[in-house]
Amino acid sequence: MKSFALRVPAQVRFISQVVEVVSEAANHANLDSDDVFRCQLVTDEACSNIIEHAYENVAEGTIEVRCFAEPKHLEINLYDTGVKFNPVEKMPYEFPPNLSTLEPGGLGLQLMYHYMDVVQFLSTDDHNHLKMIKTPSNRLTRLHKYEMQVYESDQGPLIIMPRGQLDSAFAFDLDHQIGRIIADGHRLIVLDLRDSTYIVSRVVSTVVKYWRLLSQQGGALVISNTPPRVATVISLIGLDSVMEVFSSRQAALDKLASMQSNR
Amino acid sequence: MDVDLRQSEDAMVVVLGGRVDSETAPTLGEALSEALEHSAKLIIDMEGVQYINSAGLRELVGAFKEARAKDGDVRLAALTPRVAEVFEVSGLASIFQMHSQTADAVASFRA
Repeated sequence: MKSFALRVPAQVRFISQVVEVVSEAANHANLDSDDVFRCQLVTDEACSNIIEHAYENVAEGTIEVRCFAEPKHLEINLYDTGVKFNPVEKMPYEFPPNLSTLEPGGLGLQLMYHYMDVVQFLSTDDHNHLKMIKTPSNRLTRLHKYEMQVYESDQGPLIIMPRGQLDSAFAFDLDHQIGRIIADGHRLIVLDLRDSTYIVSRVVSTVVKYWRLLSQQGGALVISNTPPRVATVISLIGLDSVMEVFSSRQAALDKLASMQSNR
Repeated sequence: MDVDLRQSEDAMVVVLGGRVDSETAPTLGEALSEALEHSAKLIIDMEGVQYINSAGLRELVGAFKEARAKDGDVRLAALTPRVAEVFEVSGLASIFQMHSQTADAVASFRA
């Protein structure tokens, strides 16, 4: 185990130094760059809360950081001697947020609880102590309930194959992904839904948006392999009456191949 | 943080770059206020943003409320995956309309 420590004045311009110490420790714990980013963000949020709430932006206090890093495990401790405060009581957070009641600080706390494995506020009479632990994120179980593979088929069209729950986060990711694929010059896309378990309407509207765009550009976006539950949603929304849905990926690829040869 | 304002049709595009954090968020707030003086339809081009914390998010939420009060909107474009994740985790992805490209966001105000 390796330890890292620093004490800085509790001022916004010193937060980056605390974040730097945490980054070094996170790298030492072999966390990947996304997790290092998450550790940086929560440290930034925690320090901002200390300055704003424990020191109320005026006191000339300090923030002390102590990290303990071992492979795949990072412990971050932040200490201050400001006013005793428990952010959990002070800043309850609604998810999704209610804009009319959104409290400053609540957002930062939400990020901490989401990104860290452990978040503990351990105040004593003479100091506040925030302890956070981070281990490597599991992409499927933590933020996203899906994975997405994108690759070129032997016949040429690109295959997008998501797995898991196609929720609103997926819709956004898909929008990005197809936008990039089209920017790269691809015009034929198969969205293979074989391993999807659930689909929201926002995904459907994203698909329709690119189906329309590609149709206008002489390309095509088709769906294949819908599992029964997903097929029911697609049918209820009426997507299957707008665009072609194929029972197998091969049938979809054959259709796209015939489109290419007819050009 | 870099910030640049430009008009696109009847919307204002706020082009952001770099880090949006507690130090730079006030500058973002000023830029958003200035943009809102010109139009209640704002597009935030975030392609160049590598980092945003809650201070930056709060500035965007403030602008969103102000724009909505004037029958406008704040729409986000070209978020990098890490920044998009911050919006998802904070729940703000369900509030802001998001587009993969700025041109799409401009077009969305036409509809």
